[in-house]
Amino acid sequence: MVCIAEKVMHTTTSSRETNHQLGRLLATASAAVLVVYGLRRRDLPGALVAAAGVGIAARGPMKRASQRAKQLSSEPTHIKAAITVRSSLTEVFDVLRSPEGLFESVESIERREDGSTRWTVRLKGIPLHVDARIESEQRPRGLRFRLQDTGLLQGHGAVELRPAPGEQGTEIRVRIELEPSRARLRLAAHALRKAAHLALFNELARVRQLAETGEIASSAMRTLEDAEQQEPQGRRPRETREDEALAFAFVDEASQGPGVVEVAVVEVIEVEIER
Amino acid sequence: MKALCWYGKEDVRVETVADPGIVNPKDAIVRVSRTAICGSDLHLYDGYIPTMQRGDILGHEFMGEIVETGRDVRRVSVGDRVVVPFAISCGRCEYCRRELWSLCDNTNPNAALAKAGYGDTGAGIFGYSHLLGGYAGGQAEYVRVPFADVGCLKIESDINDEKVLFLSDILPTAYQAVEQCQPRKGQVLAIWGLGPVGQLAVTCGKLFDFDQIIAIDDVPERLEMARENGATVINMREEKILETLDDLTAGRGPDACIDAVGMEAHGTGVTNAYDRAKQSLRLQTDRPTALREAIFACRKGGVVSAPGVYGGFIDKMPFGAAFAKGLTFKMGQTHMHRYMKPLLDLVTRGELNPTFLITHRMRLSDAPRGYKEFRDKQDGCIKVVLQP
Repeated sequence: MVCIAEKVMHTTTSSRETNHQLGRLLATASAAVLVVYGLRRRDLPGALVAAAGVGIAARGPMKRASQRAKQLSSEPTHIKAAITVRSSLTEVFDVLRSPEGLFESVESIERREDGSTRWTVRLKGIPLHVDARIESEQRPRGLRFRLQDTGLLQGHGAVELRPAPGEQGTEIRVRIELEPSRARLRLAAHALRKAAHLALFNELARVRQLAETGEIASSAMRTLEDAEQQEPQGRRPRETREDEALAFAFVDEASQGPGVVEVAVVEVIEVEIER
Repeated sequence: MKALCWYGKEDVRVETVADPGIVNPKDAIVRVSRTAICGSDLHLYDGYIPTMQRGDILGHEFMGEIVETGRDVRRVSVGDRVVVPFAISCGRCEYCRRELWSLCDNTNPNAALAKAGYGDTGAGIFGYSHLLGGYAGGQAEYVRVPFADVGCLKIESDINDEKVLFLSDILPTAYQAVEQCQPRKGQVLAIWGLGPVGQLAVTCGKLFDFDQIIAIDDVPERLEMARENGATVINMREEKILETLDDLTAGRGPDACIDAVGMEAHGTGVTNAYDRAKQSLRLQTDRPTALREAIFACRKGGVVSAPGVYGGFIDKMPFGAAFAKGLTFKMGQTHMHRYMKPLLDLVTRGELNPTFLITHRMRLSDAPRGYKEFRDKQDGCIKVVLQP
């Protein structure tokens, strides 16, 4: 009986797919006919007919894009990156727990009395404040944190440390789940996922540099203090990279123009660190 | 200070820029005594390397005197005469410990850019794009050298600068290219491209027991230089490379092939026109003529060694031939620190003298002319050495 039901369902599904494919084929063929006919007329009505053909042809992809956008705008954005550091778990953990001056995109970290921290990130001159709170910590295996909600952006994440195989040091895995409150922000966050992944990788590379060599690689010609005393004549300021530009677009979207974007910490939840 | 700055395709200028300073505790500042234009600098000059920015200081072959050190520099000190390798290595990461110095994990500040472009980051390189770190180069009066203890090779004797300058890049690069061929007695080595690295590959090849070294190019003075150095030469404008190699090796093909040309190969015929058209339209980044020929010519089970620089994507690669013949590929930036000291010993003992390459000596202020003459092979130009 079950077999018969499955067979009927399978036949129905196949029949639906065939009809759908046939419909798409007919739509594409009619669109092509309209475009060719319209263009061959070489007059205004012809142009309108051709435009109608293009409209029919674009209907399917537009509908699919719209459905995908709707789906994405209801999902959180997952950003993750991993790196292997030739140092012990404890050494890496200690570097991560003293993040002041470590991350390229973070201008300052303010520790607060309530145990949370306010991170100021400057993107193309615009300060972005993000408040974070550590929810659970298991030295030296990792920690979990939450980004505070001000109605604009919320999220949580985890840093996990494991011994790398073959005595290669420590594996660091960072996962962040962003849950922007507005649908447009969610879409923007999805669009920026690759750029955010690379930015996160860059920050982990700096963790590795500091843990392995005791310093962070820099191509600067001079220190900031020296630079203030002596203005370079041949070099120009670094141009904005694509990932920075994308990040800026995200901030712009979030703040509806230049200004300060604030995201604050909210609640603390108990989460076990995965092993 | 004066430095040679990149401003765009075929536009390099000597400008006055701010002096470098100590940024990190393991830095040193080197006052440059000699610097050279590398064949790979021509890829920057011709605009084929991405992520260059206007005002970037060029140059990765240089040596000089240490004039300042950071507080954690121990092995070298102010007043030392040093040769600096083009690749910057930390000496502490997994790759440095495995002597894969040019794959260093920790010296590219733009690691994410390299991750996006190449899948992972290698070592930072002086004066060679922001993809590879954005470091200011050595065609300048002064250079900031990160991880000075790891990179700087101290020259203790009073040997002439020009004899040791090429330890900064092309001599170790040529040596590694030959060593990668896994040389055995009686083998035949073929080298495509007789620029500085190709010429030194002929020289380094003589340190091993090759039965024959075959050198391929189309520039008469370069062919003559290789012939004088003991190579059998093929002028690609006058002879068909594959047929001649077949003839010279009695149908076996060379046991090892070195592509010392890289991404801007000059070929002939339809394939060359196709490559040039695709590269100019940015449908491929590199013209791999020499690499294709090397793969096709190489003996079954042989090695193709590629010290020539490739930057991105290549088209029409005869990978079927490579697979069918079971070839081994060896490539990549040179693991400089592995070779510098042993090669310095050979140079000091007089067993190697790379100065025969130098055809042009100029002041740094004439560097733009040096680039043009080197690129256009004017006036028999093979290697330009600059003095700040």
